[in-house]
Amino acid sequence: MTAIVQKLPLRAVAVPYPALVAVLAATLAASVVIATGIGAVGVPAGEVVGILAHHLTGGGDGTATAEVIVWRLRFPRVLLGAVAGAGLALAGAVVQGVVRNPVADPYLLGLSHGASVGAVLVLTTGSAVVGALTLPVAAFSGATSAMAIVLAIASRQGRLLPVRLILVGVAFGHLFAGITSFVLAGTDSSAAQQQIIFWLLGGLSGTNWATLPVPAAVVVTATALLLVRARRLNALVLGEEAGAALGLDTGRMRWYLLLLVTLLTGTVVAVSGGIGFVGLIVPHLARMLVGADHRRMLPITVLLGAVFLLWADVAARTLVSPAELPIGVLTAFLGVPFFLLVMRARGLAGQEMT
Amino acid sequence: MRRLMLCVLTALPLTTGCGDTRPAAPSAAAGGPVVVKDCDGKEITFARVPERVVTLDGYAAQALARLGLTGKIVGTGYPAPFTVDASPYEEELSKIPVLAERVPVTEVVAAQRPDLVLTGFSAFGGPPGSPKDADLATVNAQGLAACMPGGGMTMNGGPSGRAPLTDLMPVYDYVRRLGAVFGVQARAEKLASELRARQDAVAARTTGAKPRVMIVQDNPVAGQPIKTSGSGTIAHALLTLAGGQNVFADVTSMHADVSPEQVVKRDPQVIWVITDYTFAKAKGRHLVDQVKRNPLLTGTTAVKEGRVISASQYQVSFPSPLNFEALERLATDLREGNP
Amino acid sequence: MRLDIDSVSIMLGGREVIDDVSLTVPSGRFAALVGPNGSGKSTLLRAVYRAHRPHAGTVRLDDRDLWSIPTAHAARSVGVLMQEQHTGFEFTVAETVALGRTPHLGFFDRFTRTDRAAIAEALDRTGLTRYARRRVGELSGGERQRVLLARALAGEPRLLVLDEPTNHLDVRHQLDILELVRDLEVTVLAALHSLDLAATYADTVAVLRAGRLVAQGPAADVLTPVTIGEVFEVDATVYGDGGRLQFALRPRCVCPDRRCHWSCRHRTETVLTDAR
Repeated sequence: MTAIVQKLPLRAVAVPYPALVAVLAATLAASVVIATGIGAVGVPAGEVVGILAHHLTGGGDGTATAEVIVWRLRFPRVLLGAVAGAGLALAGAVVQGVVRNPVADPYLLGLSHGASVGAVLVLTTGSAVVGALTLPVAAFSGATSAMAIVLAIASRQGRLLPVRLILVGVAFGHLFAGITSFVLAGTDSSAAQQQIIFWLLGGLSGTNWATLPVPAAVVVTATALLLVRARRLNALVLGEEAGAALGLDTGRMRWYLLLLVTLLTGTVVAVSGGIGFVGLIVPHLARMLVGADHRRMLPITVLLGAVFLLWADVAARTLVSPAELPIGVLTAFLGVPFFLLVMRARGLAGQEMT
Repeated sequence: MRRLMLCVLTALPLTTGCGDTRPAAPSAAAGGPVVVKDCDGKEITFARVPERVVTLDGYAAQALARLGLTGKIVGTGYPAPFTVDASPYEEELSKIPVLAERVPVTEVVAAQRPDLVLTGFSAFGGPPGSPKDADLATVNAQGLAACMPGGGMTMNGGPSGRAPLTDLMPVYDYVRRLGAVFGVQARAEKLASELRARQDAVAARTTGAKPRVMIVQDNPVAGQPIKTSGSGTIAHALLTLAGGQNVFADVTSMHADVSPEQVVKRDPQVIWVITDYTFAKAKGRHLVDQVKRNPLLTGTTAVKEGRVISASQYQVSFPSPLNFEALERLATDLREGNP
Repeated sequence: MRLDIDSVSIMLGGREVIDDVSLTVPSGRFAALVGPNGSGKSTLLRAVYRAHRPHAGTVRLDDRDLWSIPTAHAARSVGVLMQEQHTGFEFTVAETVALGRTPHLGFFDRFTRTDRAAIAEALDRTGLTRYARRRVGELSGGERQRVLLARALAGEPRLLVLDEPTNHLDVRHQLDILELVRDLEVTVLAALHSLDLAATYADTVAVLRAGRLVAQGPAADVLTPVTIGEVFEVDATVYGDGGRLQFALRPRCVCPDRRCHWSCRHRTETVLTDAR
């Protein structure tokens, strides 16, 4: 066994898998606490821990300043960051598997632009039908309708072929972006224009406890559903022919997975806006660490995504404190160097990555 | 208590909303609940007079100062508008703790434990991280924004209004609503009337031909659209009241992009430079000098005749008592052609 | 497991690529499918591993209609080695071989002891045990082909379908992989380019030409100079009687009106020059 491990020239991470999962889970837990201690207003670490301990052990809600800031503002936001990061990364991993292309991401299928179309329509039209929707519901509807349109057009006789899916997704993504810009150009609302930055670049400000349950439930459920399909997801990556040879109904599998991704991304985008890059980069990191086997990489993807977005949000709210940056800016700033670092360590730079 | 509530509710039809110039919720006795409307027409009930106020921007603070309520402000964001205020308010306002140079984030606001958060902008939650309505609820604070007519400026639906703004109703409206909330209706009414009188005085003096005026916010660059203020803005209202005619009244937004060709075609007789926007390449007089030398604008009648005037955005962008200083000066400048 | 291909016709893009083909491979026998490029070999194989449904005829495994049982059931009996493109997802050898167990997966995608034993056995048979944790992309072509064979074997198939299993392999690896296949106690249907290999390893050779079966039977009966000449349009000499067959193949240079096939024009011109 040791002999085998030593023979692997490129395996930079020789940490046993369970240990890696444990380390990442511990990192996530620690990150949640630490990130809750960081913010525009200084709250002593002891007090932060005290407040969290008080509430997590069933203590009642208080109205002291530190308590409001830590428990009502920061903690749900930190948790939502973790949930959104996990969800987006997971969705990215699945989409990459479904379209058999490691440079795909959930937004490739027009989801985020669909969400922004939904949001702008609510912001700019007074129509009773659309206007009655709340922003998150509108964003979710926008994302899912966009996906529905893309899937409907990309499918031929019920079959979803990856190349078609990518082409249609990219084309419609541009169309939705165009619609967003068009609607915005026709409005005099600077508020709507600022809102659209949120929908395009994402952000976690404005999170409260009420925001959290739905995305959290969806992400947890999706993770569970995907883990019990992880081996089939592996087989799907082999493609149509090999999938059929392995007894996999690739068509049905793709539909199932894409519907799951739509639900997942739609829910996350509805509360966090279109945070980019997480869905693209985190699954890659996970694969670099533990390989392409979805059974191993999906849990790592979820944990890494959570930790990554959580810290990206910390950076977003502290770098220009007491103002805030759009989180999409940070995911790119943090993601690329981290990605290059891992890529170098894994010696992948010299390898073909088709 | 219940009787008092009922009394307020029956008074509701009189309660002011956006675009409503009638007097604000009258005479809810000091200490009793007061109901005012927010920019979407929803009712906000104030059970008691707010004691700790955070103003997200200087505009709201300036309005409060003129109601004698500076003492209730525990902190403010975006204090830049104070720099163009006059004595004694400038000194008074400069004593308010500054929470952030820009609009502060929710956490910073929450740290002040406000019971009321005010903004001179037309909605909460514009800049990333700044408190939205839901955040204010989370931190047990109420919010009151200065409203602009025409739902185009509101956040959550409402009709996409395109009616041009032709007077300074948003200022009177905000002043009156603040007066109602703080139980100083009389003072608010007096202030509103005084301001209104100043507007009327200016309007009364404008006679004769209306010069074609173009609003410029930055030094135009060749090949790029030029930013101007459309008809839905305070600047447009000021221009109209001062006896000018906005050559770009057919666009509505605050930073509308218009094509240089249209500028040449419409040939403004006066250029009104609004300085101090953050995106502008130069500040104050420097920007005005640049605009005068700008090759795209040299062909206009305005530059040929040297009729380039200016005002700070802190006086003319958002509803504020300082709008009236800008209005009076603008009227004078337009009449005298004085740069 | 006996394979019956019964009057199968297959349409592809509105064209009939397989036209009424019938072929039986008795249990435990090795059948080779030969024929020029585009003759429909791969298409016929696809109908056997359920990637392409024939529009007429049936494919039966031990008398059960392959296309009327659930996909996963069919896949449990049929192991496939086909040409695959690298997708950029870097699976290890063990992970790739484990994919062979896909048709046996239960609802929760969990492996049982049986699954693990089958994977270990497949790795062992193909001599890949010590490569188990290597990434497939790092292996040589010969090793990669063995990985794909191991994946097919991991499913414990009773019918093995091979589509050009020796493609891109050097001679030794070609022999290695077919030796391995012959020693398995399963029914084999393999599309092969090399007539030598077909003659050496197959019990039956079936010759396809333009979607039709032109001959089938023992190599010595089927791979005659006449058949080879007609089907592949080459001149062939076959050495060896009954025993090991060897083929000497040359481009065919029939030049009616002195207009030769492009591939032998040069040679014919030389001949003509010589004659003069």
